[in-house]
Amino acid sequence: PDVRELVLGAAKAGGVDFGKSEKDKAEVVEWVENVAQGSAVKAESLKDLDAKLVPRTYVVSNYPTVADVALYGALHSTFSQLQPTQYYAHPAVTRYFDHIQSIPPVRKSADALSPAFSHIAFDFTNAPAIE
Amino acid sequence: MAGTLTVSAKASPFPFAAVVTAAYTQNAQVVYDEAAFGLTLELDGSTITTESDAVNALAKAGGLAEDSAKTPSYFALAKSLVSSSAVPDIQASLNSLDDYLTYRTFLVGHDVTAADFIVWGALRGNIKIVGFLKNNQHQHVLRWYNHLESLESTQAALAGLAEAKAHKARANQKTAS
Repeated sequence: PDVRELVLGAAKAGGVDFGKSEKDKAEVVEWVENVAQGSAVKAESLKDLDAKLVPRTYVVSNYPTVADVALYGALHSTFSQLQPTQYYAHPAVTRYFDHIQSIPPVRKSADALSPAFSHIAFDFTNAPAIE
Repeated sequence: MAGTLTVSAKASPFPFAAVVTAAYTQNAQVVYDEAAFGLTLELDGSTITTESDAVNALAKAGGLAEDSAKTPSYFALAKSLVSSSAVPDIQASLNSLDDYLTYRTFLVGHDVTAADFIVWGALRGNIKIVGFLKNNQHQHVLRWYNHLESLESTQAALAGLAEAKAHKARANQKTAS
């Protein structure tokens, strides 16, 4: 699956930013490089990623950027194989993934590349209580 | 700016949700009037005097996502939380919100809606609840709360309130001297 195509498609559809300030732009680049390098999105790294995402709605600042699209795209193959017990164990990544996949420009780009980034349905109603 | 929202900076509880929804939707200008009693929203020819109706009207005019079946329950929750000081009630509500927000970015759907603003405003206006949140026992509520607070429109609205309060303080000083 081509994450680069997904990111370009979402950027073209509008509504995802490259960073509104110089600081945000630098952080976006840092995330994209980190995602491209690959280790952050492996199943065994989900715990670390989960801890990072607990206080965040988006990875950079408070609005969706191409870093979110890249991270979502890179996580897709991992998530498409997770069982409910596994995604329940990583609630922040799951919440984040489900939100990014629903953002209209992301959805539009993903659908154009179908079936590579198919929408993944999660069952949150039956999630076990945490702690 | 289609409308005008008139409030007093010293209103207690302060109608945070209405002021912040006005800023987010850019559908009403906020006017601070010390003599104002309660809240008055003039929008598209109608006059609204309760915060929940004001938030709903602003959200609707601003094209925020339509009500879900759950929205009224969030308005009811906000109403009970805004002046609640009973610790067990506050804890129970925050626990339940935390469970919900563990897997969900916003209260209704995948975008900010009136439900988010009314509940955020109730929490923001209750000093006891803000204290609880600072303890970080409800990290998912806190993520959602901080996101709404960090929005540019929210920051602008809070700056407007701070300015109105400072203005009032200066005016009082003048009278005293």
